[in-house]
Amino acid sequence: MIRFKNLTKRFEDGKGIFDFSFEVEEGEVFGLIGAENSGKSTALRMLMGFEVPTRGRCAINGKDCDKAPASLHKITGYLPDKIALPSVLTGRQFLHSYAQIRGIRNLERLFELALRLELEVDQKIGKMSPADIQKTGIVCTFMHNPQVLLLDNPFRNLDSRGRGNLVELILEEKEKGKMILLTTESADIADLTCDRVGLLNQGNLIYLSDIENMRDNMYRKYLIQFASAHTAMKFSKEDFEIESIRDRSLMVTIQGEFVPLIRVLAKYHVTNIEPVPLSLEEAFVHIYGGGVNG
Amino acid sequence: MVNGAILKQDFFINRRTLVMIYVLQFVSLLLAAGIRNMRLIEISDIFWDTIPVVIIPMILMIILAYTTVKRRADDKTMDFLLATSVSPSRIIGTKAVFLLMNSFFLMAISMVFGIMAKVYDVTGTWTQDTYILLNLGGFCLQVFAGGYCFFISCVSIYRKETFYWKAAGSVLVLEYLIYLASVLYPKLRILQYVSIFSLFQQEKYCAGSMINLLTSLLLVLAGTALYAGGGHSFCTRSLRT
Repeated sequence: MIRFKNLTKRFEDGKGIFDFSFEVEEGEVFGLIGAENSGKSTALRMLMGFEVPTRGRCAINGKDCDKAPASLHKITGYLPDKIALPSVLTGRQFLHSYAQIRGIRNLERLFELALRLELEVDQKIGKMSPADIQKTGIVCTFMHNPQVLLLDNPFRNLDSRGRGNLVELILEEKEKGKMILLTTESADIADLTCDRVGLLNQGNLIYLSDIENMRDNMYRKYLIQFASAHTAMKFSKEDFEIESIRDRSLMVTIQGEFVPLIRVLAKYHVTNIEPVPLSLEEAFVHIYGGGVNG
Repeated sequence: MVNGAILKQDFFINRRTLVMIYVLQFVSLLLAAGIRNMRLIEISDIFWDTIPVVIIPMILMIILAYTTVKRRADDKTMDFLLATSVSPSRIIGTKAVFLLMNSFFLMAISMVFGIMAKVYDVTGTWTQDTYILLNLGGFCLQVFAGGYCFFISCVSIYRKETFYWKAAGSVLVLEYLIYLASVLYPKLRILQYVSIFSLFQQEKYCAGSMINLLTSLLLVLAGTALYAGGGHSFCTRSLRT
């Protein structure tokens, strides 16, 4: 079990994480959602023992992360955020040398992971796309089959195909009973993989819930295109929050489930529906209240 | 103390830099050998006791200290290393050994080449023994230069890249320029007291002065303290607190 107990880390500039208390069970994926610099990475670095707590503690399987990092690192896979890696090496050279440092002799899993993520390992890292660099980092994180996975913004730079592959991989590891703690700036990404989530604002955990509850609380915005302006006008009289209406296009905001909207839309001639990306502040406006500050 | 796999990774990452530096070193020694044959006394010592003993190894230390610590922290390779069960002290210790090894091998190989080519005997006052002593003294100077760069590289992990180049590269180059000014212009002789390079004076090795032993010891002690200080700062992790 991963456990944060009243954990505080205050940096010189006043930023950090404050009074964190939550747990992640075996076979669970927990998502920390927050804007840039909201404290997500710090929480993961504390679990890796890279930072000393100002107050409180965090532990993995009962072992204090600050006091026993070496033994915990054997069972933990950590993916840092914004990785770049040495540009002069090829992916294969980097992965091979990292496997040697980890003491892994059998490289079968390593190349199997690269294949699953569609990573071309013989490219020079300096010439790789940001997505391939991210995939190289993901292979490093999963290669030793760790019991605990700490993934800092794992979907960064991945395209939809890459995201799909990673979601599959994370859910597979969850099925095996692994503990997974990931961070993201997007509630939609958390929705794809997480069982429970925590919302962060300026280092404070302001909302903790299971994924169903988060969905119920989350605002979503859609741009809907109808066959005619008349149909759009007719739909605007339905019981939904209409943001704007222009000709045959209409923007609607819903809270919670998507199904009621679909049911009503089924009665109309709709030509297109597009989700409008929302910031965390907009998606959880009733939770953030005053707004998100990085 | 040393992790072979990390050492190997560092060699692999820095192989191009090492090849480039070795080429430069051999070019300077070949020039020294050519100058010796032409008996160009006025410029000879630049090519055998300054460029290969002081300047090129110092450039190597400035680059390697950056690429093994600061650069690896910036590209997150260091985070991947720290995420293994290898302890931080062993990781940083290996990187310090990598620097020392490279400094030693560069100087040892070029010294052997220098002896074979007798680059030093153009003036008739230097012998093989004094040339070896000069190179040993040069290595002590590089222990200091490497230690200084390593320390700056470790403390600049959470700072901007320019901090490293200003605090390590620029300071060492400035110190060397001050030393040169104090040697070339007698009116500026007082400046020798503010340059660390005054602890390594080539001409004193020729005279067999005992003071060299003391200054070399000072350089090694200061360099070791800087390596240890850098390692300590790296291991205490929370540099931001």
